[in-house]
Amino acid sequence: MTTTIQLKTTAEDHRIAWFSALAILIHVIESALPSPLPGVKPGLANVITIIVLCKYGWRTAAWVSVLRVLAGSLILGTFLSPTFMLSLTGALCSVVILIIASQLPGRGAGPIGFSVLAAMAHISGQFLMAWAMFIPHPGLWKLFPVLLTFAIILGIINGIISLMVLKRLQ
Amino acid sequence: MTRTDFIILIVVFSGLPFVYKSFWQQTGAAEYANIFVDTTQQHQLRLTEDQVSSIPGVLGVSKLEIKQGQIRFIDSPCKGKVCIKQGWIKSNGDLAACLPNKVAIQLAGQYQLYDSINF
Repeated sequence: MTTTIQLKTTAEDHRIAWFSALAILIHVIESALPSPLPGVKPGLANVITIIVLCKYGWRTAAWVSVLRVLAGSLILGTFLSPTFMLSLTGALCSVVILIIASQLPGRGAGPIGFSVLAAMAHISGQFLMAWAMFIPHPGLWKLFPVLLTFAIILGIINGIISLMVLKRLQ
Repeated sequence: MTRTDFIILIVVFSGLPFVYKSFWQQTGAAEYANIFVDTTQQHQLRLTEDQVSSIPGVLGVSKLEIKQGQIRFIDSPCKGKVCIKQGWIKSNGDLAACLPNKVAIQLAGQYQLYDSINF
């Protein structure tokens, strides 16, 4: 006798799954691209996080972001490796800052503001993690301003991409 | 672009120079000069106080001058005067020595920098 287990899924679950799948795809493709400077990555998958945040709110965005890191690491074979730890820390820090930013009074930030804040939180979290776990040397922090600058620039670019996509979605 | 976006960008870009300034400031500045005579540390001089001090070595008295956070040998009873020719030293970890008189100076600060690196 076979029993069929029915999982009740909501529209929200489907939405999370689809957007996560899209983000994972971008994440995996991006990992194949060579980086101009160690530690600098465009982080295009975060475009999806920002779009989801703007359209469906932070809960969905948080799911998409964390699932992307988890599934992406499984596909790339970096699960529980230092790369994964840094990736997850960055994602969690961005999610926290995005939650705070999306609660700002008034009209709130748009995609560009969200993206820049998330990128900065991402790199800051990664530095703290790298310093605490992998390279506990004060010299590490000499690199921080440089990578923060790249994070801001790439954050703005990602924000502009998100803005363009959101305009077309309307 | 909302107004909040604009404010965020302005704050971020105006804050960036300060990030560079605070993370790139020189932390390896020397604060003290440790004076060794015959391999044992005899004195510790603060580089903030300009002075000339006389250190008795095995041959005679070596004179050290401290000025504006730097230190140098100005006199030593040796033949070569290598110590005097070395001139001012100012960075954390720097060394100057008068070997015949067995007087050596090593600069130290809050952060101890490397005295040697190899790969």
